[in-house]
Amino acid sequence: MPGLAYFIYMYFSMSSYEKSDSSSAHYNDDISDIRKSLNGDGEAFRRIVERHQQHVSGIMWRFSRDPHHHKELVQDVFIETYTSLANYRPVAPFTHWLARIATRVGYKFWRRQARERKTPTLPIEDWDALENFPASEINPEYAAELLYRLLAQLPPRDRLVLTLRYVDGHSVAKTAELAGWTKIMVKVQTLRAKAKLRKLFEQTEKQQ
Amino acid sequence: MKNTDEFLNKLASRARLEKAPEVDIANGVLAALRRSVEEEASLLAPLAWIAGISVAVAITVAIFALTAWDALTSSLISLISEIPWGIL
Repeated sequence: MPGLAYFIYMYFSMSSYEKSDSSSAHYNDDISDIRKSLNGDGEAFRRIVERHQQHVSGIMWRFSRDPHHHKELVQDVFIETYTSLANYRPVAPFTHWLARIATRVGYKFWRRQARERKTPTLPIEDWDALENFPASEINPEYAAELLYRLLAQLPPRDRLVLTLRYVDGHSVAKTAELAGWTKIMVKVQTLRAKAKLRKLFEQTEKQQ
Repeated sequence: MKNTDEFLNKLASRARLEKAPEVDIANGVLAALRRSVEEEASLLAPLAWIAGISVAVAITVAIFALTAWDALTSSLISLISEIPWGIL
């Protein structure tokens, strides 16, 4: 049960956030439903889930393209959200906090898969031909699947940094925030991951 | 592959256009949360029983110990009070 101090903190943080950014349309609904959920109102948490499930689905689709695993991952994100709800501080929109939880859940999933050695096979593609192919003619599903299987050949840390930086198109600062790393760590990890990817391309070219 | 960066950006720009599958997991999440609360309660129930029985046993032992101590101390006192008469 959250104390009075928590609600006072929520109230003041909320007013300061509203002044700084009014772009979050659901901000007030989120804050109100978070308070109610913390008081044991299940319906309030259902509203939170319904409001954000599509956004989380988009994030988790980068972590698993298997519909069954994907659905489970989205559920896991909201279960973890519920258990850590008392730790949410409304200094930033709820969606940012949710995205951090989603990234952590997805990363854990990749690490588990890497331990169990369940990585998708490397697509046999003519990379040079694809490089010269006009971007507008590449099917988005095909591009996403190809990238997913390509990055799956890398260790989870490299895969995470390239997914956040390239596939999601986040800045270094945003990537650092989502992964819980420092900006320098993100830059170093990106360089390392790209070097590994280059090596992978060279290996497949030799094999062809 | 000439430029890994350019290639990644090119594929990623297309991949971003892909729509993630629609999900409706609100019922599933609430059911899972309810299950975990129930599991927690079912794990705590035997512990609560053990704790209750332990308290009952502890209270009984304490009552017996007190009465035994009372009996023991009163007979000791009567024994000690007999000693001076015995000496005389």
